[in-house]
Amino acid sequence: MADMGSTIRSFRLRTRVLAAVGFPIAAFAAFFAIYFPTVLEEAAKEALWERAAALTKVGANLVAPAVDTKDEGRIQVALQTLTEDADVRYVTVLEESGSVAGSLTKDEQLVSSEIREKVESFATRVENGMLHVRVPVLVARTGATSSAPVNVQVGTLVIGFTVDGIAEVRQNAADTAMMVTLIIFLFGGLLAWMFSGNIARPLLSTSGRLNTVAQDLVDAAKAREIAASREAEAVEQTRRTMDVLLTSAEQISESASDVLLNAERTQAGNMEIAKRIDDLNHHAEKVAEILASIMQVADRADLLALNAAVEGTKAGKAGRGFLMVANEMRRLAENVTASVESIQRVLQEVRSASMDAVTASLGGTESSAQTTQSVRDIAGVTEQQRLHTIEVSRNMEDMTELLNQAMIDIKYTTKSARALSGVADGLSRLINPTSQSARRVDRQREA
Amino acid sequence: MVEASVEGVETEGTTNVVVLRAGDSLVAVDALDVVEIVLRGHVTRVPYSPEHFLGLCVVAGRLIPVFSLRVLLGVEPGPPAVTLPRLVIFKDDEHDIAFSCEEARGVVALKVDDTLLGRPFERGSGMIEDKAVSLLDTDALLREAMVHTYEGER
Repeated sequence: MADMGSTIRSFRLRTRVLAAVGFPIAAFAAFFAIYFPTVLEEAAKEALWERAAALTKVGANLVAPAVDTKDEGRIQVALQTLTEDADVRYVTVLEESGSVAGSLTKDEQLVSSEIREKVESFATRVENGMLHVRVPVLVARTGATSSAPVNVQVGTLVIGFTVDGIAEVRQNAADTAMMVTLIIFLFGGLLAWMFSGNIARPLLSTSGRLNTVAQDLVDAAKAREIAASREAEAVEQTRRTMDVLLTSAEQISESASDVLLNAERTQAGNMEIAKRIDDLNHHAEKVAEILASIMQVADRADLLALNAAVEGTKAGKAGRGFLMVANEMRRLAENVTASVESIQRVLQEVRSASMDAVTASLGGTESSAQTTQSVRDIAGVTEQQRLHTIEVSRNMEDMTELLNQAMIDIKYTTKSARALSGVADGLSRLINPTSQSARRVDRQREA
Repeated sequence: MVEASVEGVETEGTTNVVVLRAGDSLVAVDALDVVEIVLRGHVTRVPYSPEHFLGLCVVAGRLIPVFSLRVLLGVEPGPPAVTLPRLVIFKDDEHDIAFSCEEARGVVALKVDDTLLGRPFERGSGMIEDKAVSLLDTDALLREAMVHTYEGER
């Protein structure tokens, strides 16, 4: 089926090529068939006219002595001589008075009376399919007053020439032109048919490949355009994201600066707290020393009261009151001791807490120092990130510009591809009007 | 058990005692036997002396032998005292003898019950703040200390 379709398309193309080649050949042949006989006819006519004029003038000179002498015999001989020409149909010699001095005709009825008129100068007239040439018959005579000869008209020579030869020449030329035209047409058609075969096959194949390539090019350009559009959208999205990142990096940088300042303040505060806690420990140690002194005094007071109580006991009833006072003093001393002991415990807890606070403060100072260093690192990293983000944003802008340029190029390529596809469709339509692409082009044009 | 009177005011049937803590036990000695109660200062150990003899101590210019009441009574060590240890000084004939204890808790009037005697050197017992307190026989205690000390010296 494909071979059959290809053969049909090839036949159509060759027919079209043949028609394309045959039309100028036919035009040339028509021109040749019309122009060549006309030219030959004009040439034959001109030749006939010249020959007729020359023969008539020769005839006039030939018959002039005979007419002057009115010698009919010589006139008839001269006329006989003139009628030997095949184209001469009749010859008539008119005297000066207009009467016929002599006449010889091959077809008497062809000569009309109007033709047989004398003329004073050379004259031609075509009538009844004949060329009538009239020329005056002049004789040179010497005048009375002058010795120089003077031409005196003694008559008129009329010769009728047939123009059938011209028509015959035209007919022969037309036949020859027709024959030559037919030969040219046939030979040109044969050559066109032979050459169209060599043209049609590669042209059809090339047209098909060109159509396929153009369509593929259009499809590829469309796909590339869509991909480039998506890339442009992605790049734009990335650029916006990088802008957000840049803003975030700047905010992080500012926050890191604030955090760094606060961390340095915290570090200074922790160091101040540690110093104050150290002072507090010194004060607590002094308080502990004072408490130790109080404890010692209370202990001695306790012993004194105890000994007083013992002495009061030894005094019997007299020492009873002393015993009670001593016991009371001893209770006070015990209360003081208990209070001091409580204070010492509290103080110990305070010292322990202060030591913990010192440790925590030192830890906080160390943490603040680490935080400060970390914040400095973060600030450095954030600055690097900000710089890199700016660079990436600049690169993304360059990429966006390149993509836009690529989009323009792709659109131009798409347009060119569509134009190429149109050319391919047009070529296909030219080669095969009934093809799918040709019908599609027609529908598009109709739409 | 017999309750002690408050504030060490002696009434009918009570005896004023000095309450001491030796190790984990509360004991009492007759207040009349006590010469003085002082802080235990530096005690100089005496070589080859028995365990209950801690050494010699100078109290108010006097050289006084010091004995461990806890070791003599044979009780277990108690919790450490808040204050320094006490020396309870007794008089044996013309010599002062000191017993070291952890605490001296004061003079109280103790109702002494001498019917139930079981602990060493005990001559009676009473109750102070719901705790049983043994009233020690000071003479026996002094004798025991001195005898063992001399035996140790020998």
